Amino acid sequence: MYLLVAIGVIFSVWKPAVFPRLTTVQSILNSNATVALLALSLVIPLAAGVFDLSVGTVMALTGVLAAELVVGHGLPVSVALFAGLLVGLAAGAFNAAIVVGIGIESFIGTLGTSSVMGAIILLISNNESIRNEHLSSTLQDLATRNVGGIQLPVFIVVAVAVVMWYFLEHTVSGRRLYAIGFNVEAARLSGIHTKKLRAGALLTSGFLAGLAGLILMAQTGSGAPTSGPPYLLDAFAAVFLGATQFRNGRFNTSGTLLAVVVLGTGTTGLTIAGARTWTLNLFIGVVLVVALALTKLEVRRTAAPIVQGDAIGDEPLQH
Amino acid sequence: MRSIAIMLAAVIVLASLAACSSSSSTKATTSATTQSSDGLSAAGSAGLAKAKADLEGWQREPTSIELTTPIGKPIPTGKKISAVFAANGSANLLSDPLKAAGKALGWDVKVSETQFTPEAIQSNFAQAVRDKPDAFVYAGFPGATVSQSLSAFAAAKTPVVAETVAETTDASKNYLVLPSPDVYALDGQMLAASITVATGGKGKLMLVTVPAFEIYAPVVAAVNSNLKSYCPDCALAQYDMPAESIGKDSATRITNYIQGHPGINGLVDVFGAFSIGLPTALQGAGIDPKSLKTVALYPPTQVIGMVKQGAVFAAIPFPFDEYMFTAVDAIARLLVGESFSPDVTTAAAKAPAVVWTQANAPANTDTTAGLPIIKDYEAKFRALWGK
Repeated sequence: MYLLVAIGVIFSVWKPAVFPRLTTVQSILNSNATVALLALSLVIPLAAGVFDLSVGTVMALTGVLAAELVVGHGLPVSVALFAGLLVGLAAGAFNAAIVVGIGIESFIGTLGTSSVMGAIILLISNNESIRNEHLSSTLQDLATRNVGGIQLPVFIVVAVAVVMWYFLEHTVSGRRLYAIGFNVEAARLSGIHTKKLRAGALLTSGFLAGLAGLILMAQTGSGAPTSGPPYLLDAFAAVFLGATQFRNGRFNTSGTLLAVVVLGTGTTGLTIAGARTWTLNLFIGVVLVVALALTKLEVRRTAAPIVQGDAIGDEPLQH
Repeated sequence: MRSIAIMLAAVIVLASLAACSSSSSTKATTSATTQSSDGLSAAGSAGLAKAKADLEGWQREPTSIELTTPIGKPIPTGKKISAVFAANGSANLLSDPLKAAGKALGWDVKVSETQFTPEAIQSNFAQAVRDKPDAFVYAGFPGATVSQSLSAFAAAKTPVVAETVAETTDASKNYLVLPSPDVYALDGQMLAASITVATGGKGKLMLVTVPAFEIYAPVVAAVNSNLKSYCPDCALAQYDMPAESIGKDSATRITNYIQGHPGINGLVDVFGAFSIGLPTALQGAGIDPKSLKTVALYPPTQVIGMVKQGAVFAAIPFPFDEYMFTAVDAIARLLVGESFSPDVTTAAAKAPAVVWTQANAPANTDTTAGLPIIKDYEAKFRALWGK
């Protein structure tokens, strides 16, 4: 939070005529809704110690499939959107079958499923963006609906975040997810249904990634086969940076959203200020590395280890 | 303590980056002092009038394929053509007309699509060399990456046609490049005239290019030079978009830049696809998309649809169909024993020049097929081939 304030002050001093405006806040929120949702899709699996590298591809898959249902099969947009969400869930189920059912390491397993889904995307799209005028105009009307300049996707992100926050912080299952992420074997021996919860985590990430894909499709007015994977690194960066906030080492909803806003404010400010394009990547990289490094150092310094096992450091998680 | 440390780190980074700012230099063109009633200088009024006249000419539908000499000898059938294209949205736009042209001559056309990594490109090119085709066609790959395979084709005297590459035609190696550099200069001129008309000669312009793609450099140079005469009252700022932002955050970057530079009313999109998602991003920043006039080079079909709707002022289409037929024509002439004729090099130097605006853009853009510029191009090529 201090970082966000510091960035805001820096750019307000640097570019007082153009940065400290309501439209800048609106722009930061509206333009980061997709990456925020994708980042949120990673929180639950990472809390459970599961890497889902397929979320970017799931984004593209749902967008392409929903667009194809409208353009190629004449279905109403609402039906296509619903079908897109189901496909996201199906993708999550596929991941769960591979990672939890068969027991393949999540990092490799979801990399493999991502490749399979990439093939399906090519099969459906023939590697071309899928669109027509009806789809573009309907979706862009949807994407630009706003209240006070804040567009619909931002409200969706907030709603998802509230539900996820409540689940992780105030339910037994949420606590159990963190316990699984800390030590899956210990959690299993203590009677937690680890397989069920890990499968549920992957279903959730598939569903939310699908939702992110539909939002991206609405914003661009087309189902593009290459649209999702480029967001993957930004989403992971936000989740890991978010884990250094609020919950001190744990993946969490509030920290993730704050990280998206911090990174978004920094990159927006740099672009508004006319900084060179490479500076945006440098800013994200330095902030992420410094935040994680300092968290790691603090963990070493303190007597009680607090960082989640295989996610940020190699120390166990404190509960 | 940790938060303070992170904050300090961010402050140091931002302070460092501040020193690196303003790479996107704004280049005010020369401005005369005399003002006319429309607020333009005398030179500005003259430039605007010239831009309108030129744009009107480019809005007429081209009818010539620039090739007039029939192939005088029978074209052999059963020839094998190999092609390698990048596996992206334009692969089919290239391969479909190439296959159609080949089929018209009774040739077998094998197209490979490759990921855009050096290893994948080189592997596909190496396979094409091993296939020993009668001719080879490719598009858009860097010369340094494929030089070894091109040398092998040259050694085997296999004709090669390259599209949208930075290299130039070398008749001694049977190596034809489509289009020639002259076309990029004309593209830049058409973009400059279009944005001048779109902004009424009073543009505060943003030009967005992708430096990673070498072919855009001459276009950017031509836009800059032509704006000096078309729009002396305009100011132009260049924004270099990283290739990794394509299909990701390009609309956000453009929007943020416009936020930071109030008054920008014209966008010259050299890459052609940056309008996708831009209206939503602009609205999200409280900017009316209608306040920004956009002209685009070689746009995807979706952007041409935006031209028809009036959301994009003008677009210069890429002649996928005409160029692939020109490629096959050039190969046919070489296979019957002719060299690259003046006709072929003329065709390479003269793309069917057209600017599509709301008035003349194709009505139906709900298609994944190409949008030919010359309606009866295929019949005209077949006539030259005696087919």
